[in-house]
Parts: sequence; C-alpha cells; structure tokens
Amino acid sequence: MAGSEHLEVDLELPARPSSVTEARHAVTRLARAVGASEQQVALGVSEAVGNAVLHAFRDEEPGSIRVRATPERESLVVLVVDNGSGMAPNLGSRGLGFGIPLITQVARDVHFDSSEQGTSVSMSFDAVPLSSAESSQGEQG
Amino acid sequence: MALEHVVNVSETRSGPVELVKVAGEVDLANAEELREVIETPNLSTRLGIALDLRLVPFMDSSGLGTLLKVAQGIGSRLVLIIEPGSPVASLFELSRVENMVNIAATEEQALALLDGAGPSS
Repeated sequence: MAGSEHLEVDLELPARPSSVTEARHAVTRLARAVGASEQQVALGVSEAVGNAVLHAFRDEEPGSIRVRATPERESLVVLVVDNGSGMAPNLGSRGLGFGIPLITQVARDVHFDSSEQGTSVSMSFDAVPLSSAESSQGEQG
Repeated sequence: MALEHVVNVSETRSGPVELVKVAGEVDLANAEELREVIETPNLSTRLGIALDLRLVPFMDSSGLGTLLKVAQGIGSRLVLIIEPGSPVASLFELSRVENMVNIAATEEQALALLDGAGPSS
C-alpha cells in the first residue's frame, strides 16, 4: 500500500498545445503502472485536452485545464476540466470534429458536462484491479 | 516537440517520388509542422509523395486532420506508409477514413501506387 499515493496524476495546465503532450505523457505513465491500455489512454487524453485547448476559450483569454487521473477498482478514471465557456459549435475550428467520437470509442463510461463556467470530460479505462497493482508496487519496493 | 524527418527521392517509371520519413509523436503541438513537412515546394516536379509514418508511435486527430487536408489538396499524389496494427493504423480505423487517403504497408507498395502500377503483392 505504501506506493499507492503515487498512483495519481493531478495537473493544472495552461490551455496551449504543448499541454496536450504533457498531459498525455503523464497519464500514459500512470496507465502503464496500473495495467491500462497505453494506446487507448494516450488517445483519449490527447483528444480531451486538445478539445479544451482548441474550443474552451474561443471567446476569451486562454485559461487553464485540469487533468486528473486516478485508479479506481478495475479502472483508470481520467477527468479533464476546463474553465472556459462551455461546448458550442465552433465554425472556425481547426479540428475536423473527430475528438468526441474517438474518445467514446477508446474509453468507456464517458461523461461530458458543459456550462458557461466550463466543460468536464470523464473517461474510464480498464485497468488491473487496484489490489493487484498495489501488490505489484509493493513487490517492486 | 519537434518532428524529425528525412527526405529522399526515388525514381519510378513514371517519374520521381518524394519519400518523406517522419519520426516522433504527432499531436496538436506539432500537427502544423507535419503539414509544413509534407507540403514540399518540390511537389510540382514530383510524381507524388510517399509519407512514411512507421516511426510515428502516436498520432491524434490533429495529425489526422492535417493529413486529410493535404490529401484533399493533392489526392492520389499522396500515399501514406502505415504499419498494420500500429497506433496510427488504429487511429485511421477508428476514424473510418481509410478510404479517404491512399495507404500502403511498405515503401515498395507506396511507390507502386504512385507509379500507377497498383500495389505489389
């Protein structure tokens, strides 16, 4: 159990493209540690954070994006939250609209919550059961 | 996160092909750089471009969008070399855009497509 407090990602990042890379790398490292699919987690996180960078602050100064990833039972739960202006059509978007469809294909239990105060995206990825991951961490210690 | 790339030219029966090999992850931070790599000023003198993505361990929809926009502009003159079963291949399958761009598994197949001879077995 001693290593379990490190099995978490909690980042506050500026809404700029480099944050997509930083968030993906951090959460993918955690995915590897808890036995979740790195490929699926990488794509889900990249799309969710990328959406926030591209769309959340379209009418205002770029704000921040919070990325949290936590193992829960047999899942890795990832939460991406921005304090932008909420989801709305963005005709001037650089993207082609693949982000949300890709997220829903690589993650399960996907939830979107959007208001004028911002947007949150919650995604779950299958992982090794938490007790097994902690046991493995303990054996490595 | 700069993209590494190497450009070579290969001669086919129909003309020269630009072989562009890219290495590194592609996401929102460098998708524009990928476009700049592909849109070579030499294109007007080339039969086409074979873009080798086999050393790209990760790509998201930003990179995909870049590739599709370039493909829309030059059509059959762009062939992507993608390792079957790779994360990039998976991205194309999940996005259901495999039919929107020419894809080959090897450099030889890509050159054959651009040469107009069809994919080699």
